[in-house]
Amino acid sequence: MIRILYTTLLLSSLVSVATADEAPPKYTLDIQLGSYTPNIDSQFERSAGSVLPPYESAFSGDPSLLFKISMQRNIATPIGTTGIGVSAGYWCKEGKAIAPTGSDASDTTEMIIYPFQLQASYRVDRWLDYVPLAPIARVGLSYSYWRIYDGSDSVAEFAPGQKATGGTLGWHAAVGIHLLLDALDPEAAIDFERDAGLMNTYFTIEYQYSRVDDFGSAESFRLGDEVLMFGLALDI
Amino acid sequence: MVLRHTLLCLGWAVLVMPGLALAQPTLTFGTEPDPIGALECDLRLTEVLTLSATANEDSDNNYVLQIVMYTDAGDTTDDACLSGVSTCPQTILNVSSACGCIAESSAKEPSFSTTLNGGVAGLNPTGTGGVNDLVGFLCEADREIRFRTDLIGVEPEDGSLDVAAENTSSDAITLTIDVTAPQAPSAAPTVRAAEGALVVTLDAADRNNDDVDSHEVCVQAASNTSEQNQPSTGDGEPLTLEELRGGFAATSCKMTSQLNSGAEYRYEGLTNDIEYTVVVAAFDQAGNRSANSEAETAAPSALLDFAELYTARLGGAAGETGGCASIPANNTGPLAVFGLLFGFTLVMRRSRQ
Repeated sequence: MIRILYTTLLLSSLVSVATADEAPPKYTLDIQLGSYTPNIDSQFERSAGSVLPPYESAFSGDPSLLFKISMQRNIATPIGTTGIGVSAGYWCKEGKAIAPTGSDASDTTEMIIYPFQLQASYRVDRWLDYVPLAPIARVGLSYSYWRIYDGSDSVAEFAPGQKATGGTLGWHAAVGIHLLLDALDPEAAIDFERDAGLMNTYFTIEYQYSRVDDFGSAESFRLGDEVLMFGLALDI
Repeated sequence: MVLRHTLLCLGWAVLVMPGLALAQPTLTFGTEPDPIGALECDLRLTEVLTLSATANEDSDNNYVLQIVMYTDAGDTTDDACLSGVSTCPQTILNVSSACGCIAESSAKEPSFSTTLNGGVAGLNPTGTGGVNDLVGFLCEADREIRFRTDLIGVEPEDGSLDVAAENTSSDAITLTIDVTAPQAPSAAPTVRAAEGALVVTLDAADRNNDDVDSHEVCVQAASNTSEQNQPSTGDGEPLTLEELRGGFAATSCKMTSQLNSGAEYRYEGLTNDIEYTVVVAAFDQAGNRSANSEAETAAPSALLDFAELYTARLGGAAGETGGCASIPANNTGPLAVFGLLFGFTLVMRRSRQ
């Protein structure tokens, strides 16, 4: 009997929370960092005795830090917040130019990518008063503008007259979890909201899968990757 | 009665004396001159030099200002060499320890400026050799020429001159003559061959040198560089830049301020697979050039940057060639993602309503 009573109380509280007419934050600002390696070498077959593919040759295949900042407009939907927004990022990797003749000359080469994204997201955040964790999912369009530089910091060329700069389209999807930090220091959270208008602050972890290759074009870089992004999200 | 008289005197002193408690005047160059180096010393000392003096007082008073110059190594508080001549401008009597009043405000105004049309040489010294002797004396060693403004007094309305109770002078400003060349780099530069370029760095011991303002990097095909890349010993006259560069043509030398901080300098515009000789020389702020460093040789070589490497690895297969995104015409992927986002937007609009 007592168990039934508890269950009824719990369900009624959840329903009351889910149906509460609580205005969601209007905007969410995300700042994220992750280790990113463009999947350029997937275009090249590896076999025993073959030469190393270009990204691994020039950049040792190592990743580099991707910085991303995004802003989204939110509206409340049942048990969560729906948002649509944009993001912009920066990624840069410096490597070594390769001497084809075996000379001891050496020089640098650099690739810079500015990833832009248009995305929709859904965050389950109606029970934050009880559990400070909000699962989130995102999906959207990606556009990566990229440039390759030679050792003199000039834009390199694939061939004479073909500047190594361009853009590549694709898509991405992400799932993650946002940890509400307000619970750690409620007083500071109230001060933040009153003084700076920050309603909630989250620590975020998101796994992002992207395919950025002009939707399968054989004549485009493959800039997709699987990235674990860490960051902060601020509800404004 | 005595007390009243004393108070009156004190009151007068409080009211009137501030007029004679003269504030320190200021002196500025029209354009702050750079330090003067050995090669251009004669020329620069005969350039026009503009000096402006200000009393920094209210304009109700008329001030008598003088600009005084010292060309010896002494400081501007030593007025011994100014004695003996009461006119201004005065003739410099002793070239080897020259000083003198070079201008006086004629309009008796709070500020005035004067132009030495012949530069320092225009001071017209009377020592043996005249102007040439003064310039020659100034350019033969590192020294500083100091200028100072003296506020001689205040001229009230009755035209009399109230001489300042104390000698009120401005801070001295200095024109530096630096005829000593900086040390040449102690070691040959480190040269890395790049594509169509050589990348030069200096040994750690030759960086962060306070006496060095910039460096000159000279690169010339080894076949065109004569063996003599160090200057011949001079005849007492400063060596010209051509002499200091040795066998390197002026067109083969480029200035950079990067090397002193330890950064690399990239000398572009070279031909691959040709051996070049590289030397570096130091310049100080006054424009004095050191001798060349020891020489290093290197040959630029063809290298594949990432774009060229990507193209080479494709081996003729289809691949990225730059430019905007090029989606295959029959691909429906973008439409699917756009549709998804559009659906999201519709959901948001309906929820808001």
